[in-house]
Amino acid sequence: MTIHGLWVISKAGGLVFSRSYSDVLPPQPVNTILTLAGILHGIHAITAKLTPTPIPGVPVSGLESFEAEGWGGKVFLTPTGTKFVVLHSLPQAGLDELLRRIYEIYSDAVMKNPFHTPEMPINSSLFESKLQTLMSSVNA
Amino acid sequence: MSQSIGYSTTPPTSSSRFSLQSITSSSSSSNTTTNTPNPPSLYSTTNQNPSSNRRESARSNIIPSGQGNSSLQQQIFGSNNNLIIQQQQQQQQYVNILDRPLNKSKNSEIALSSWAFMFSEIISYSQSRVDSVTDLEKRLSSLGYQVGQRILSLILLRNTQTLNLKDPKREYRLIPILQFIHTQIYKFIFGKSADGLEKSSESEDEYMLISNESPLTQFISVPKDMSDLSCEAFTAGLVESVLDGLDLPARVTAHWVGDQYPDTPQRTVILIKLDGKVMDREEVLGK
Amino acid sequence: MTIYSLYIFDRHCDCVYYQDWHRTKPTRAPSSQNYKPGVHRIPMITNNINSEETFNKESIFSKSLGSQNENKDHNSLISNNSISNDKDKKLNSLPKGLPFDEESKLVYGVILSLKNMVKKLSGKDEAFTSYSTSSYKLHLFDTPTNYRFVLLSDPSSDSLRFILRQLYVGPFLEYVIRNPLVKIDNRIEGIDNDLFRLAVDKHMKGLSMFN
Repeated sequence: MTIHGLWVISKAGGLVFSRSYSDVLPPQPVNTILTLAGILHGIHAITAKLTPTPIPGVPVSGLESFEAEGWGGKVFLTPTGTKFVVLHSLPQAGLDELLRRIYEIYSDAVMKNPFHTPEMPINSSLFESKLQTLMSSVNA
Repeated sequence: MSQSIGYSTTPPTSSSRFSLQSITSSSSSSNTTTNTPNPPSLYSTTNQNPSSNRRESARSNIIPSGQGNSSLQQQIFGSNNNLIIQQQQQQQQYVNILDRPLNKSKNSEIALSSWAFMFSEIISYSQSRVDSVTDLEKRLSSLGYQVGQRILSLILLRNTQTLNLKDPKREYRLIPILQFIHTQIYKFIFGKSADGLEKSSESEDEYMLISNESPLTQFISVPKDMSDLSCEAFTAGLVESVLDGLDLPARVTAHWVGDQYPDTPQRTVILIKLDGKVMDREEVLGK
Repeated sequence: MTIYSLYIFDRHCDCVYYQDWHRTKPTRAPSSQNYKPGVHRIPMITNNINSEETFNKESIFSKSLGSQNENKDHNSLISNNSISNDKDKKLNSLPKGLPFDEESKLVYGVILSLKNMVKKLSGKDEAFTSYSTSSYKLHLFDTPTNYRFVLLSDPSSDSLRFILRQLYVGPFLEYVIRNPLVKIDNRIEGIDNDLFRLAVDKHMKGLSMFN
């Protein structure tokens, strides 16, 4: 499994972080990713609405993963509404574990950083370097 | 609600909250602890409701004293307040941090995350009240100073008690004091000693405490426009107050040197510049 | 493994066929001004629930098939949503979903957005094949003539695109393309007819993952 990229989307739908970790998918200008992240945020809400068998009392969940030919994306929603989107190659294994690790790194390096403003773009060298280590261990 | 949880196993035939059956069966046993099986949910420790706890404790105390059933309810709901309060205090599992015995250090660690979040808030709060990086460092340093004062007293007290000494043992020479900080103080705060203690090669009165990854600031990444800020100023203040408390006045500052050490990008140096009078004294005391 | 519903969209982005199984949140019939015939057989909401007529008028083809009684059997066989009155009442008491026209637009909207996103990201002209949430999985199959087959199943299933392909080369070609009475590619009517609906139903129920 190769990780192609990671986005972090704030609970309002804004892209606060995006990195590419492989060159399989062509590089995109930040503005394009910003738009796509907004679209994904909307799709997430709509897909929850389309649930054919909702259980009364249980909140419906939205998009969790999508697949294209040879690659796919996985969306991890934290209880506070932040979304992590991982673009990866197919077939994938251990993606859930990876997303948990990313969430852990996020809570350590971003949420515990006094210089980070919530809901604003992530500007933390520690977050980036920790992710880079994690991704290179997965992509290796 | 809590009562119905606590006494849910009592048979529905009894109108009182305490069923006759459970009372007689438990009073026949001599030991209070044997009450537990009947009814089982009664003594669950997870029941946090103080009122139901109180009743349980009162009851478990009354029963072995062999008093009649008729006075039981009176006692529970009546005037036996002292007894109840005593029991309640004994049963309390979590002791307030201020009420804990000072010399007991076991299980007194706190979660690193809760510290990290609080420290992060402290920095944000301080940041909104200062104009410059220097002021922010000063503020953090003064906070650390207050912590250091307390830690020094506490450690000296504990050392005295564990070693069964009559008077506190206190170092007075420079090097043992620095070693005391390097190992004991650091271990007490961070759970491990500092990664290095070095003497400056440039000047006689400068020493350096080195830590490769400080637990205090390991989650913090300083933005580029404040690159000369080191949040370890807190530790610097702490070290300064310990030195001060041991009568070694010094100017202590923290510096991030991670850019020179690619293996340990968070390496921080606590630079101790000792007061002239300390150096004079050391010279007088000699080797 | 469960199959929930099937949508077919034509190249005008209109839903031309809909069928469902095992849905606990059924879609509602659209309001009469948004009603498009020949797409689905969702019972219209009328004041008189007993009126059998309401269930039948949705298909233009079903009328030609014998008496009313036969029709009734037919419908109960092929659509879980209709006919028996007590079932209908039960369905009414369940949380009602979106009107059908809105729902199908949402489905198409999601597909289109995801498709565009995938296209942009990969830089190639490739479509996404499926997406899943914790409660369902959506499979997409594009035909060369720009019909889009969409299947909703439970999230644990593997790719079911081959089923959509089978539906396309089987019942769809047989009973829609080769059926001169189906008005293909007009924007007024869907492609629903009894033979097609039966064939799809039979195909689905024959699958091992149907239940």
